[in-house]
Amino acid sequence: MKNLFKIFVILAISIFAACDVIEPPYTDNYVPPDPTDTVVRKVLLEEYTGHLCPNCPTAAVLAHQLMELYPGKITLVTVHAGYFAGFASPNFMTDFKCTTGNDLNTFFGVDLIGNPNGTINRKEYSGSRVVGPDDWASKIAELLTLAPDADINISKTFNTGTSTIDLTAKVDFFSEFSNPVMISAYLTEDSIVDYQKNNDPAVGTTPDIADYVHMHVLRGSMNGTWGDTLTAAGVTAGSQVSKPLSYTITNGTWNKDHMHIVVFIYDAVTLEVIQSEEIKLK
Amino acid sequence: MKKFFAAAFILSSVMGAAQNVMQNSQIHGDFQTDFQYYLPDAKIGADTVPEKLLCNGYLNLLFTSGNFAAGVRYENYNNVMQGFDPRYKGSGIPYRFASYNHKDFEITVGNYYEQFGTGLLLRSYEERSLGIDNSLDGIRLRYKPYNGIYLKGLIGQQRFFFDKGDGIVRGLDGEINLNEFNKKWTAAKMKATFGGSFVSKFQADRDPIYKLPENVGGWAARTTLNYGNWMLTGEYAYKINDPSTVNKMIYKPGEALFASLSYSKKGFGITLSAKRIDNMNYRSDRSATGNVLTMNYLPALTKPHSYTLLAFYPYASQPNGEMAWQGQINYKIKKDTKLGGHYGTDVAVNYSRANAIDMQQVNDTTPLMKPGTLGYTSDFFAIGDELYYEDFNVEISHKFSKKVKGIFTWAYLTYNSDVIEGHTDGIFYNHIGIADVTYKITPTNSIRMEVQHLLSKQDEKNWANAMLEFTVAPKWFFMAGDSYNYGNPDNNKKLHYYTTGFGYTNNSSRIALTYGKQREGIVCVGGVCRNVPASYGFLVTITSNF
Repeated sequence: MKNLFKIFVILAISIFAACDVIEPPYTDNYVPPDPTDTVVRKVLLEEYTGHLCPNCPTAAVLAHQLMELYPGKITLVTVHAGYFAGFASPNFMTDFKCTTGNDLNTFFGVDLIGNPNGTINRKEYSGSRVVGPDDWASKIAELLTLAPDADINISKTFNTGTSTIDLTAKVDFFSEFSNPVMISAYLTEDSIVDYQKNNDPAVGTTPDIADYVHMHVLRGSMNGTWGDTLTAAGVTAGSQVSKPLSYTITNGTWNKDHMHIVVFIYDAVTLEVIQSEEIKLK
Repeated sequence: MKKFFAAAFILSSVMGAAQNVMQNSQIHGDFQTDFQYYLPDAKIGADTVPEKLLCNGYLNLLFTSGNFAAGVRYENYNNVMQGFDPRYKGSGIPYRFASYNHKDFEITVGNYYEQFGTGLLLRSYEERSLGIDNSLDGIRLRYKPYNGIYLKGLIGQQRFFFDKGDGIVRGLDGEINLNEFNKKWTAAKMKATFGGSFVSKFQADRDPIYKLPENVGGWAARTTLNYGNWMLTGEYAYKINDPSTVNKMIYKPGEALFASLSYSKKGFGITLSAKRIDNMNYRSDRSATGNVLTMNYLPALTKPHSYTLLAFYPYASQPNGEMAWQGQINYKIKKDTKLGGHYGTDVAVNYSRANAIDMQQVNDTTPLMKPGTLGYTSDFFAIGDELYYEDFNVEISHKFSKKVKGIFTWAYLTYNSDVIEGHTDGIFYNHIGIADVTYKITPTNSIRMEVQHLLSKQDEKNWANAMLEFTVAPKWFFMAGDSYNYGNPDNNKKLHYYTTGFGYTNNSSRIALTYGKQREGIVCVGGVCRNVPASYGFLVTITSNF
């Protein structure tokens, strides 16, 4: 029994030593990676938000910090869906929701977990694809240590008269994929000035920001929520596959000067995004 | 032939031993399943549920044989009911353990639940109604080296739905009961217990922006003192820097203090409690939110209410900071007096309040709660200006005759929805009155009626509620009730939320069926809450123990 007591004492001392007190500065002096590589992995961050979500502006700031930290390596799509994207009279009557966003929100169950939240390449972590904002940085950092598995080159024409987009995505695969690969093309809009709930004085006025600038707002998809098949039976490394897509924008209220097309490919079985790319609409 | 006899001898010995084991063994268990058939109702905001029927099911099995115990729990979510985290998906055995105790020593491997002191630093527990199960999976030792001295040590990872969380939890706890420790003090009027604990968690730092502490430790000290009719309990906990999603990545150390003083004698009792919480969110994964991977428990210092309208606005403990206090007086007015009547009258007066903690900027140039800084400074004894919650309630219980008794409650409740729900709807002020009268028709049959009213100028404004319950003890009960939001300024939202149902109990098994509508709201147990969406349909609950 004396030995057991000794074990407890040793355990106590070892656990007491298990403390990491951090001294300022609390942030790392980050050195961006060498940008000489022409093809890089571009991570798709889908940020779930809503204008009634007071915690969401803080998450939006974090998303933009990450985009500055990894220039050209994060593709951001802001999905307004669920409870916090509802309406509240008189200032929160703009409908930022869209069918694609609603589908994604339901499928990934984000709204039931809460906002703000996100998916990182729609990758599953411990049984869930929903990742909290303060985990975005570490999860994205992990993914960016990996070499890209594919490269997406987009050529497009936009007819301003008919608002028709004709797009061809040329995908070069650097790795083999045994499952079918899907391709999606989403439309986003920047710089929409409208009301936003906020509880973070460091970001803006509380409880409402009257002139909040909504960025990367998901407006819809050119080819449905889950996209089209790019390769029906997997693909070998070194292959190149092209996909033409055409879509006409019928919504006249969107500011096309502020719109982008986000193209991404994903594994049809694991749903994990392989690569993403973003270009301006005009 | 020799081999045959040898084999027969071994076989009979093994069977004999097995029989011995089985004779000293017991298997117990409990089963619970809740399933709801959902009907859409756009008016109350009940969405269409594609599966129509959702179900949560649980089966616990516990095997004991002498000093040995082992158990498993099977859980099934096909699919999980609305209002619970959808990451509970599918089925599996997320809980299994084996334990052995010998004299003063006990070892448990696998899953276990544990609490140090009041739980300010460590509490792993299951609260099924909230979807909480943060059991630890690892090893736990309990040891009593001397009379009155209790030691515990543990290591493990917490449950994360059907997986485990990222972090590793380590903890030690020691407690000394002076009255057991020294035989001379066994019969002393003063009873004293002192305890202390240390807990640490490890989670790797993979963040490119922040320098994150990978090992976050905390310690706590506590006491319980009894002297005659008096009792004093208290615990203080301290935690080093622990930037997380919940505290918005600030590096301030955390503190918590809980103290309670009570006095009781026949017909009279008084309790005064106070607590301070300052940045005490403690989880084994710094990015976890909601009720997931919590390592500690911060109790709410408010009276838990069960009446429908009183429970509309429950309080949730605020781990980022709160100053709270509560007082309760229970008094029994003697029987055969003017106020006491023939049977006496019980009066309970309760007051509780929670405010923000005082918060000052770290320096002139750093805004409050800026991520990647200390966040704020705070005077330990100063109370912040912002009111989070206030509840003043009086409950009078009186037996009018052998057949009629009643409970009458009035409460004035102030609820800061911005803080408690994270919305921006402001503060709600509510007057709530309740009459609950039971009439005993026969020794086994009784009828109970509740009439409730909520008066408010905020949120959904006025509500009325009535409920009738008929019980045929000990097997049957039937109920019907309705909550009516008659004061809603939007005519389309002046809605009835009716419910009807019955329950049947047979020995240790029970089945209950309810049909009706449920308002969107919050359910809390001990200051921990979950959102409940509006729903409409049939709910069946079956429980059984064996």
